[in-house]
Amino acid sequence: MKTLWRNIIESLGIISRNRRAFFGLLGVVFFILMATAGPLIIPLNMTADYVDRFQPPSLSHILGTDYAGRDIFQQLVHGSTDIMLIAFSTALFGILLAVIIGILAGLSGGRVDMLIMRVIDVFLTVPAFPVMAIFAALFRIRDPVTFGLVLAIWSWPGLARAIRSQILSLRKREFIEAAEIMGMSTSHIMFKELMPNIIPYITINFINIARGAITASVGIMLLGLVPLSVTNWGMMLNLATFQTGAIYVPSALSYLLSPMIAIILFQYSLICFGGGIDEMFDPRLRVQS
Amino acid sequence: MFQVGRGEEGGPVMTPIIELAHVCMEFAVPGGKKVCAARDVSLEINKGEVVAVVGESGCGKSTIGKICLGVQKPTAGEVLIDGKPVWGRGLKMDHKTRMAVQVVHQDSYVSLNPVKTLYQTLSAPFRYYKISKGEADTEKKVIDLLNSVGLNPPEYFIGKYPFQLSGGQRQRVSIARATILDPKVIIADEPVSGVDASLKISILDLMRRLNEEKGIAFLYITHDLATARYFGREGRMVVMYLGSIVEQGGINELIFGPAHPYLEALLHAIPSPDPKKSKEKTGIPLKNLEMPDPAEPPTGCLFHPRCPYAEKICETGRPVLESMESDPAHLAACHFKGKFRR
Repeated sequence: MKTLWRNIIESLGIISRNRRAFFGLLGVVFFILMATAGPLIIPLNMTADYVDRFQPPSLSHILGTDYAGRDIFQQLVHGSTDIMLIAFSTALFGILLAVIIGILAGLSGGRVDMLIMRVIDVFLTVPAFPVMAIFAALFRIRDPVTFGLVLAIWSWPGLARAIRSQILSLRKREFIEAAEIMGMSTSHIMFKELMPNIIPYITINFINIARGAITASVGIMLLGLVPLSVTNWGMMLNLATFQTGAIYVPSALSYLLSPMIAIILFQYSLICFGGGIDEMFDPRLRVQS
Repeated sequence: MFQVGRGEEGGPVMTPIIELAHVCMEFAVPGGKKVCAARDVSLEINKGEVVAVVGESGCGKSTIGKICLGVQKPTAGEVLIDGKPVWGRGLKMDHKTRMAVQVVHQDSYVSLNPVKTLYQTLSAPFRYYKISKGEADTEKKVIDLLNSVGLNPPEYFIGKYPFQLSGGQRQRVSIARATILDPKVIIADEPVSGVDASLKISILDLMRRLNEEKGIAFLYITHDLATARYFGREGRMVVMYLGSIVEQGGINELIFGPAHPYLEALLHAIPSPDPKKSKEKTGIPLKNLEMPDPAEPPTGCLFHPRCPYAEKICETGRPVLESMESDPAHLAACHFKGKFRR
């Protein structure tokens, strides 16, 4: 337990030394707080009040109001929970699939490996977004976790292939042979020798898959294929562009831009944080910087 | 039979730590051919002994190392560690016997886990086998270990990653790791060929000390006759050519009286630092400098296409490894055994 804390503090130290990564960490923490604690602190009032329609940002409405005079900031905060859940569940399911399939292919070799690789090739050559959009329309999606699961179906192949090649290259290294000669068990070699070399890939890909899931989910909701909830950023965009004519009203600029900027900021934070993670795990990068 | 290494003269017959009996290792290569990396190799390593295996690259010396380590299963023949078969049918070898043989690889960079600090790498076996009691004891043991291989001060090295060390330092870590489980023999596959010339001697001295102080036997695989002689001293030497042993015996006996033309050629190829001697020295006119295709080995004596002394009999009959008349411990696989027609 003590070493775990020491590791966490040490890792935070490494990230805080890199300005970009630190910005990313702050951004990610901000958005996580927004998604978890935000809805508890900021109540959501969805009663329509058409008098206050398309108000520009002011003190009472930090980001202005939407087509029905409702506070945009409240919607943004409440919508972030869904976004976060979708991103997290997609990444979790995607990673799970990728790790299992990648390790299976890497360790079994031969025909099983061949077959898995051909399937992965098919997955990688077919463009992901249209397929995800079709899936989203096919399945009845009622909650963000199911949405994540559906998105995960098409998110794992790249990582699975990376893990497979990592395993193929690592298992021939001599430090694995040395561990075998020392009589260490296969599970020890797998988890104590191989895994520490693969964990960085998994973590960085966790962030990448999560990022992809945000884009994909927002895109699908923008198209109106999954009407999950009104406050979802994708739904907000959809309403702003297609449904309410906000795109033609100059004073509704804030309504249109708020979800976009939120998405961009969150994505950018994730990218910066991902870079920091990379440095944290790779001692070679860490020391040179 | 063989002259056993230092301190074992005249004692009762002991079981060798490693015994290879008529070991063959064939690899399939593209085109349906087979390459023989080991042909009928019989070799034994006794307690506390240093055996040097020399030969050109591709002669099968690394394969012999892998077979001794038990990581490669020979296609024929038997491998015994402490008298127990490594590849016995059905039975899995007990860990204790298997662990008596440890390894030091050539490339210390890939033989250490790149994402682990020296402490993590070296403490793992202590924890795995519960040799140490508690974290403080593990740390003490790792520090002692680093001290014993000359990485001073240990506190400075303990948190380093492999890429932060020099090749020589990494090789010391590899050697340290190999000694953790109290092995009886260490297979050192070209341990100094990746190390800076100025540090070679110190690494060899370190292994030498382990041999003398802890009685660890060494199978020293190298292409470098000079380091073989320096490290081996009164030990034995095995000369390999195209997967078979062509000559074996005491290192000094072999170096000062080679009985096989291959070893003679190898010795003549070493440049002399003295320009006068260098001028006087006439190389052996090898017929061919290239090694034959191992997938299509020559008939008769494997060396005859390159041998300057080859006669009719060499093209048809393959010589067997036999004792010299003058020295029963000195074996050579040549029809003439030093008595060539020059």
